[in-house]
Amino acid sequence: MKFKKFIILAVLIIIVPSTIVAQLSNAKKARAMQKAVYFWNFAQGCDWPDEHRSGNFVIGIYGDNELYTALIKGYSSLKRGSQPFKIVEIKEAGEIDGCHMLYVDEAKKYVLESKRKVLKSSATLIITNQKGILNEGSMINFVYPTPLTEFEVSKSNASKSKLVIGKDISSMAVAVR
Amino acid sequence: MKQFLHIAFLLVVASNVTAQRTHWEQAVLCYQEDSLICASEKIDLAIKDSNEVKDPYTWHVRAFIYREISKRSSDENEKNLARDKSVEAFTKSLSLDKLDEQKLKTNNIKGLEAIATGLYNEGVTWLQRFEVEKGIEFLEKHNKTLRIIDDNYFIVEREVSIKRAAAAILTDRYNDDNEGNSDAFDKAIEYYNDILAVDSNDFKTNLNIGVLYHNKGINLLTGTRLDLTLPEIMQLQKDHVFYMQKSLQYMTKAYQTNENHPGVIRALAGAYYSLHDDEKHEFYNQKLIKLEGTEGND
Repeated sequence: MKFKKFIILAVLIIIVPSTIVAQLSNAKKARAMQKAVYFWNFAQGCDWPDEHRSGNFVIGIYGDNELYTALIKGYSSLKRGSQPFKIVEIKEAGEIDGCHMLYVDEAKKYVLESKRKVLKSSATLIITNQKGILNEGSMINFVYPTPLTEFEVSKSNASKSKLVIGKDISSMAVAVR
Repeated sequence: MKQFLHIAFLLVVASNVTAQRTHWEQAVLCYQEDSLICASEKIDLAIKDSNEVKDPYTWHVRAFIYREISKRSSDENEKNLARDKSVEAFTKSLSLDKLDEQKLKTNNIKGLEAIATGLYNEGVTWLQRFEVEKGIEFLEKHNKTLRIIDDNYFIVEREVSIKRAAAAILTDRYNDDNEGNSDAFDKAIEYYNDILAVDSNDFKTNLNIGVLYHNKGINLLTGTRLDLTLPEIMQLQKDHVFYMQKSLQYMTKAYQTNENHPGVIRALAGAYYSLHDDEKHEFYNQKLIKLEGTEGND
């Protein structure tokens, strides 16, 4: 008995609808989300003077559109106690008034010097993203000693603005002043 | 099959017509009358007979009868069962045939090869319907069947084409719903690693597995709840870093194969950004700008 016909092997052609790619913009969104979670914890774990505990809880973002977008998306329906969050994208230094929390990107750090008096009197928790900037008035500063996003705090800078950085935050900081 | 029947039929006719026919001879006659039910009943009796069960021809005939049943059956379970019996019978015939002149060896082997090809083709059909598990199951059956003939059987092209297609489908499944289909991620990685075990420099596989890990790391953070505690976000970051470092491992390999592929460079730029390695992020970002005139945002 012999086989006369050829054995035909099927050809495999799979068409998968979508292709997969890695996007740098997604990495930037991911980092912004990390910071947004930190902001939530900073808002919950710090104390503001009584006169700042009513109305909207204002978070100003100066120089980081990705972070602003992440906060707008995530915080719009949330509250700090009875205070609804209000997220503001700062376009000019003159707009920083009245923020409970203010994030200043590295490129905009000059505002810490030029608006020092305003910031101090308005009990604004200043958050930054540059090595060594606690010396320039920042209260919480993101640092990257490892591949993780971590932070250092300056309780003394905070107390000058009548703010208290809570234990939950300072215990997780890589450095406390 | 016709030629098999012709020879078998001649054997039956040539045997002493006055003597009682063996079960396998009766099976051949049933088959000649196109009654597969009768043929299977007779051949089942043949293997219960203490004399016939030792005859390689009994098993040879049984293999062909069950192969035919499998081919004609429209019921999947019945088809699979008959095919398994056919494979078992070819194997048994081969082992019994070893002692004499091995007259049946060539056709037993060809019978197994035909079944194995059918199994591979069925695997392909399942994959074309995006049924990954079935596709892989039939590839494994194909391999198992051919390893009856050759212990070392392994054809890279067949293995790689099935595993690559399976991994691509699973990746797509994971991308559609990365929480609900997290097991698809693990399986896709497993199949891509199977391909890399054969060729560790396979560019597409290194790229695809690198992108899978990259996007898994990104998804962890972009899909997170905002009200995590600080210890929770630290742990999430550690997981994110783990996946980004895994991505780098494969992307670096892909980069060594092709230094000018925008997808690889974009992923490297993104991974180093995520890991806060600004120098390397900038290196790949600049390279991407030179290649495409834009950074890797689009």
